[in-house]
Amino acid sequence: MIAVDNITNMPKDEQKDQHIIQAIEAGNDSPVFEILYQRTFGKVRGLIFKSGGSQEEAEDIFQDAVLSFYRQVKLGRYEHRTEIDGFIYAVSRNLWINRVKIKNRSSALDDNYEAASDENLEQSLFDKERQQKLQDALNKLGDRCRELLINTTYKGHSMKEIVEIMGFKNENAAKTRHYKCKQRLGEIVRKSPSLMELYRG
Amino acid sequence: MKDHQTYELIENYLAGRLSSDQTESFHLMLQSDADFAATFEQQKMMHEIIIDDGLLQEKARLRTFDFEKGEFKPSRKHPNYWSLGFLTIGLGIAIGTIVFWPTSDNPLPKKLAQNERVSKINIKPKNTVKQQLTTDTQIEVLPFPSKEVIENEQNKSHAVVHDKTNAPLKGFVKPDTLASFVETDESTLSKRLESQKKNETLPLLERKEKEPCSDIQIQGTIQTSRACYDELDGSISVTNPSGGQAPYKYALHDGQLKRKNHLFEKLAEGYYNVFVYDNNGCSRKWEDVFVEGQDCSKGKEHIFSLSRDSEWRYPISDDTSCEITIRNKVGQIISTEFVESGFPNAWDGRNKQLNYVEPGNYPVTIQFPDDRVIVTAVTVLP
Repeated sequence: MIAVDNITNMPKDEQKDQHIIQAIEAGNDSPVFEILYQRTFGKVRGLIFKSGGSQEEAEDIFQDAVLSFYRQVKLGRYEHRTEIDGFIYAVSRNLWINRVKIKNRSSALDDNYEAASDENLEQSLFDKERQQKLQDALNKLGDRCRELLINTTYKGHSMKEIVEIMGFKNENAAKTRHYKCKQRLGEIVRKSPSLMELYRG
Repeated sequence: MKDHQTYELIENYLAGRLSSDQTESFHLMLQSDADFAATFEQQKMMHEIIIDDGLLQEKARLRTFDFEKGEFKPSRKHPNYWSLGFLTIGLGIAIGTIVFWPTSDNPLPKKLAQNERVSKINIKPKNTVKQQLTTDTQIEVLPFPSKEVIENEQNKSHAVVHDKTNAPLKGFVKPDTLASFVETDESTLSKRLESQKKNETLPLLERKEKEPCSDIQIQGTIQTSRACYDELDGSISVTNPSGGQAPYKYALHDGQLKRKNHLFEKLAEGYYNVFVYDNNGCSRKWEDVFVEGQDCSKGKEHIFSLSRDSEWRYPISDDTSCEITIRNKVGQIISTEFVESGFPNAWDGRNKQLNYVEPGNYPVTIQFPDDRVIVTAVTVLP
């Protein structure tokens, strides 16, 4: 994994972007948010203040935009030619426009801030309906299975690390449980048409 | 390709662990094999769901970010007075150690010898002779290096001191201390080696020699048979061993007693490592041999006998959460069990009043959180 110092001590250039992406891919998200905050939050806040938003809304939008960025990277969909700051700003802008539209405050926005429909931005990622469907399905999985799958798939831990972290007897036991948990998640997903619909798109 | 092999291949692809050639083959398979493509789509969906679950957890963590200070807020848990107490005691011990630590040239062995907590000392410079004592104290010195060797290898040498619970007492030792310590123990060990000749119960000397198996490649065929979920009825068989010198022996785990029988039975679903040893002790390891699981509950008779103190294992897989209701012949509930993550996993044949039920057939309803219901029955034998 990329150590915190490796990122924080690096100059602010494209190389740093590469390291941020590598850190997210390796599951080491912790230091990344602070760096992105320093680099991008000011611009996002400026955008939101300009159209009547609050500090709290700016923080919320910024967090969701960063998580959208994480998602793109973790799913291998992030295009490396895009500058991270620009990506987060664009996602923030679209998230904000959608939120304002919902609140019927679109008149407060400049025409230049129309949401760009051709950008592949995942604005509905954290809407309540989606979150609820996800939670309902994953609650059936059991806490230990859920933790195991997040540790492997999201955080990128090896089975050797999983044995240490979660107290399995050995790597084979961890692998077996991982396989079973995946099978079980498959069953849950198959029996949840609404969840399948959500992810088929 | 077997189910679990497909599963692992897709897992590796999604985790970006395939080489460029493997990735190319993978893409060709996606285009040419519709079943494989369908399996991939489902597994990719699950991958995405898990990533989103992780992101929701991360979102909760981001809520603790202080935007004014630009850093995460410290945890607001109440102070842990136990930890503070231990910290104070630990600090006291540390200060005491510094104040009273003797200044002799060779303090460590003496202090260790006087310290009743010390039961095991490992010193690991570079190479190859393992010295293990059968007394309470265990010392590994690999090999006995001269002072010059130690000076040259200062940065690579370290000592770890263990207490009787095998927990390391403390980490690295200064190289000069280590050098004198090794010298001292070299003489001690020499004496012990001499005494070994007279008394066989003292040290055991194990000398690693050049590996004679480097040119030998043991081959064999691994076959598995499936196990019912939660049952020990799977098997692994190793056939046609070759490449080494017969007779061959087999083991299922590292360190397990080697056996002549090539068939391992009574295995649960899961991953295993298979070892084959030839007559010269050369070995071959097959990692992650997978015994697949299958659902055998359909049509299976659920029977158990109270007279043999047995239990009826619920027909559910590990980690399942559900409610199991057992009724008598007239439909009255005699037992209700809430199973959380696979526990409890069996019925011992007793009713709510903890009395053993009469022999006979008992309808069973298993209700899952997603409203799925399985209706079955259990037979209690006289």
